[in-house]
Amino acid sequence: MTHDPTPIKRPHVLLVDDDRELCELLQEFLSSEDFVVSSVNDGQSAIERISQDADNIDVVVLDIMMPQVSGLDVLRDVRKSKQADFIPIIMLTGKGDDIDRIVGLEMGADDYLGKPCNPRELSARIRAVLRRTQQLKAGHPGEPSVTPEKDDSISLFGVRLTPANLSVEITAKQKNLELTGVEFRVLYLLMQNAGSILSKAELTEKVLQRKLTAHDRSIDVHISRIRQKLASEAGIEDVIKAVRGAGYLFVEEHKHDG
Amino acid sequence: MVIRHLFWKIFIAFFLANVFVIGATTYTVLNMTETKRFEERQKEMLEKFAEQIIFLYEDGRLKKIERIENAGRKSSPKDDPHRRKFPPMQIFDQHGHPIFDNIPNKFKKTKPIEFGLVSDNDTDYHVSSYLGPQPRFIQALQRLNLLQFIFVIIASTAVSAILSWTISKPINKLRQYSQHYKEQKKKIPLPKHLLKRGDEIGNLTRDLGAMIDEIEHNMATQKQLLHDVSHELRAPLARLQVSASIIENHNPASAQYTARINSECERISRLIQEILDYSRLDQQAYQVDNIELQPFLLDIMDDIKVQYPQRHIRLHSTLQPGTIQAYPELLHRALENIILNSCKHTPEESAIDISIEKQHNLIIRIRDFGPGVDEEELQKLFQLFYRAKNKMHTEGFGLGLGIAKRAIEKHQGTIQISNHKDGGLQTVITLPLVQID
Repeated sequence: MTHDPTPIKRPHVLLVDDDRELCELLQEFLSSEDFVVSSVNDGQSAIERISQDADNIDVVVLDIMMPQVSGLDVLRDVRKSKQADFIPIIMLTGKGDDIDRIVGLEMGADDYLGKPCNPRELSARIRAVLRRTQQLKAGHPGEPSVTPEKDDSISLFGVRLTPANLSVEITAKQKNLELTGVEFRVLYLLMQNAGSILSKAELTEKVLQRKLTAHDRSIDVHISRIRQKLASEAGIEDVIKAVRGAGYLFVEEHKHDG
Repeated sequence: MVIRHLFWKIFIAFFLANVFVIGATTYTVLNMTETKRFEERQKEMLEKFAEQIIFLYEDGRLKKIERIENAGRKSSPKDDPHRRKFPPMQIFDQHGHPIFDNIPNKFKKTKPIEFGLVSDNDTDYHVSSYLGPQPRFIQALQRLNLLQFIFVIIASTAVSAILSWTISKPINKLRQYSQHYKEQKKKIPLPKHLLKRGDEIGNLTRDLGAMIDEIEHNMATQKQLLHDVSHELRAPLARLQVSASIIENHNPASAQYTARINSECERISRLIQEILDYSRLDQQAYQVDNIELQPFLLDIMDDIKVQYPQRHIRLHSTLQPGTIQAYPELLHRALENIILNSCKHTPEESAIDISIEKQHNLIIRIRDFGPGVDEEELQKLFQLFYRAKNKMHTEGFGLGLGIAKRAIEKHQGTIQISNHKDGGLQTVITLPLVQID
């Protein structure tokens, strides 16, 4: 990882769940899956632990349903703080708690998983999230095949995306747009394929590195966030179109220029 | 016209009762006094007349009196100036001989007034006469002052209104309160002045308060129970799944069985979810929103295509663009459950047709091309945990259609399942176009 020059360092997973026994079991399981695992059992300690130990934590698995300080509170706090806002977070939500999922994604969670879940699915998600972060940090926002040497910057409608440093520049205003890693990847993919429709399944697989599931609103939430940011920060509207039953489309520039 | 308001019911009842009682009393009193006065006046008058006649008789001016018996009765009283002057009466002397009789032949006899008279000569006479017709009641009533009458009506109206208001006002207050509770599902304090009352309304208020407390308590208990069930049942499942995976890591040969444990855990978890969904239907206060049905269905179809990518789900709509009022979450679940049900129970490559049509209701038809269901089983499909004999798949718990039915009923709509005449199962949903209350 970036904080450690040795590439074989095992990624550190922080488990946040009020069920101690489950934490112990998951710790054992994930350790055998080549993760370093530590756990805390309430929201307040999670906030403290993450702010103290931000550089050592590679991914947080966060249970949303906790007494007192809930998972959403932790999420909000972590995303606000400067030193820890980059840490990928996977939420564990009760099945059917769609609202929690959407709120969590809007607050900047990277992915979610219904609880209870197959632990193998959890470790697959953790790996996917880690792969994503690694690629981003190495300057590959899209598919893993993108070569780092050439300049991959894309510029459309006065928005310039540079994967090398993850910057989103609004050229007219000479300022940067703050996007999360996932949002950057979604926007980058859409701009790369401007003029053609990308299905939700395709976007999910390429950006979140997993399969699309039923009632999966992750991509929709990320895209709605991108739209909001583009509209409020750069005054750019209607560049990402939803095509019902098909997917999303970034409009081509010449059609829009007028 | 049906009178629905308690106020008017009580008011009208009191008012009528008042008017009736006042009327009846007035009538009786007037009748009595009038009758008495009338009789007294008549008697005085008769006495005067009798005295006059006797005076004439004793004076010898009433000579023709003997003939009265013979001829007088036959001639009309108008022929005799004496007779015409006097009210109908008979006068007898002390020997019982009539000295005067002007009662016409056809005279309708009423109650006679009889009295004795002593003349100036100390002779006794006996007079027998009849009262003239009584004055009409209306005439008597006319003697009542009109102002008096208006006052009676106003007083009666005022008394009725006040009585009616004092009874119906607290009841209306209580009704407003329970209405508010029904709509907001939120407890607010009961009106203090009603709670303090010692009468039946005070009792009713306190009972209502106690009932609402009980409802609140039950709801809280049930909510807690649901929460506990979902939390407490899922936690062991989660631990079970992790344990199974640990076993698998230690002993890869057990993979087949640990996979089974995992899938069974997920099945239980889904069942818990569906039971929770079903029980939440009646508890949760759902939000009404405007939705456009066609895109709404297309979104549901998109979701289903993720699970069943092979299916051809076709939507045919004759609907004009426009929104309807619905509970989006409930309608979504109902439609999704029905379509998913069709997906589960029909061959993988067969189509599913959905049509929307607007008559005076909205009609949504969902038809599949599977084997259908035996007629006698059709109605049971909505029963919880019922699964038709035709099991294309064993997934599902028989809750989906029950949930769909409750959700549609919440919209005051109907849902019916039948076998299509050309094969396959058809579900028809009707949704009223009126506003949901």
